[in-house]
Amino acid sequence: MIKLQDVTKVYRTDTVETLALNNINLSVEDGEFVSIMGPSGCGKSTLLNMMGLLDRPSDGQVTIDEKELKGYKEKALAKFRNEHLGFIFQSFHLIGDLPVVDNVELPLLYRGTSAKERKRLAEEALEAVGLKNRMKHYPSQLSGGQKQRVAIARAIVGKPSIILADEPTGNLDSNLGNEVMDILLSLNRDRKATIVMVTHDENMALKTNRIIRLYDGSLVN
Amino acid sequence: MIKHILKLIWKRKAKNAFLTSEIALSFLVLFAVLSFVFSNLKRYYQPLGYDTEDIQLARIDFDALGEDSIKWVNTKKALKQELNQVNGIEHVSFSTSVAPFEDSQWTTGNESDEPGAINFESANLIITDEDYVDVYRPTLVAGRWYNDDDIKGKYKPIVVNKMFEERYLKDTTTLGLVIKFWNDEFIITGVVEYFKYLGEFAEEQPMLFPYLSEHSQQTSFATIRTASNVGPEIDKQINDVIEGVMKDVSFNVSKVDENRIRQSRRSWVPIVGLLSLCGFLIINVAMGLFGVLRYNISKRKGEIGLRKALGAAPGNINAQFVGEMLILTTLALIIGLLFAVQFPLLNFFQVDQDVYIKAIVTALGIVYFLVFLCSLIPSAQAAAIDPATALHEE
Repeated sequence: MIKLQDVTKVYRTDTVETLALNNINLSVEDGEFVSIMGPSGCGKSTLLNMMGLLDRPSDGQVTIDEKELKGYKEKALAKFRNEHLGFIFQSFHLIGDLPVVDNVELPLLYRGTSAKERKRLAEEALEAVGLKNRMKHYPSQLSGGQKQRVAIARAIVGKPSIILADEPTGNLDSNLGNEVMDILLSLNRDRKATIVMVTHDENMALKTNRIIRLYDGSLVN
Repeated sequence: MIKHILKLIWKRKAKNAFLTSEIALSFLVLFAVLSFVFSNLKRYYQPLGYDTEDIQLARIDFDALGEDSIKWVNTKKALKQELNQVNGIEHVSFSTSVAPFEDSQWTTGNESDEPGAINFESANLIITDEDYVDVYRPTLVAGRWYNDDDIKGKYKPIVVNKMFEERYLKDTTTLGLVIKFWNDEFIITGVVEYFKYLGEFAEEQPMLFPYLSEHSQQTSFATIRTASNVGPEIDKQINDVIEGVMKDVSFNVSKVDENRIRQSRRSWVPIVGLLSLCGFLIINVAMGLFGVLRYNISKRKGEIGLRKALGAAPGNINAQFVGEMLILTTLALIIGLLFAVQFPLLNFFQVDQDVYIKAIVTALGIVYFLVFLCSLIPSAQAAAIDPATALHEE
């Protein structure tokens, strides 16, 4: 379960203070598929970064699987992300100089998994997204939909309990977007993965269990 | 992780080519400079083999005495006698135009089919008298310097150095051996250990010290050993004696120790110059590496953000970038080594193999240290990148 209590995030520069999140309280239950919606700049990605432990709140606390993560050091946070969280990004974030299989193996590399086991798990993950035959391809040889499926394989390879997806269909046409959405839905249904997805697409959001709406950094009922 | 880094480096080989060439070239330049420096230092630290303190060298234009051999003999005898009578002068010796630190050398060789002849390709000569040993005090490892008995013997006496013995007299007994050259026969009475008369940075050469007969008209130097406690007034006394005996013959007197220092300073100039140039090169390479690394890291912010999101701790990022640089350096050094090892293998420039090997190892160490040092700060900066910002920027 993900729990945010009184989470506030303020970005400060020398002259400007920007309130990105304002006193957010929410929880996402285990196995739930939640979408976050709202206009550009409302704080959706910041909220996702808080849940993904990529950023620290200015105030309030984030609890994941009953663990209060405020006092965690960088190294401990990295370990926690590696073991519990999977990320999917709008622009895929694949490393162009590595073949598909190596891109998928990345989270396992930081877990200290053996090369043989990494390869086996990466193959399994790629098979789950229907891309086992593209293992040795480079990202530049794939279509947008295929790239996002590789990113999904990378997100699930370490069998995390939570998947955080930042506009996973944002760069895809509706067909490819639906394909990706179907994979996410099946992960939620079959693997009981908790998924939090930021999206602008109302149709995609409607397929999820719950929609959280944000406006100017605050939750909207 | 290493396999992972190797894959990245291989895929980015075109982008890394410039950096690799820069490192390989820097290694080769360092290797060349260090070979030169080590080779000189090795010679510098080899013992001179003789004393230089409390010795004065008088270069006298004996040729001005003309061709009258009796006049030569008498003048030399008188000069030696007068000098020896000066309080504070211990020994005086005559020799031909070759003397330590005078940048002059006399080389000879012998090639003969005669039975029992000792052939030698090349040896340096200092023709001198029986007092030379008391003036320069070379270390004798066998036999003795020639004395009055040897001078009166059937053969002319000669002393050789250890290098001559090792190079040309391996299969025979040195002491008492008669060698022929210049249509003359010489008997070896002693072996000196070293005699680096060409200077501190010069290489020891095979040496011969044939006896300079008092009748010889080849004399150029009178070498004078003074007591160690004499004051500067001895210089004037020496000058006065030479002037008194030699009349209008020109001469000049110098101190061997000062000549040694002067020549040594001259030899240090190219070494210090090259080392300074090398220092500038190292600073330039370091700055270049630092810049290239910072640029590369700024280009890879997205990748760094992604890796951190996927579970890389700051230490992992740090290790990855330092590791990438060290692996790239290893590849560059392998290329550099392929060229560098040709020098000891093919024995270029007659430099000892151990000098080349020492230069290779030191250059490797310096390059690795430099790369490691230059990659520390950019890698630490990479490790400190905020993943959310990096991913957002990408």
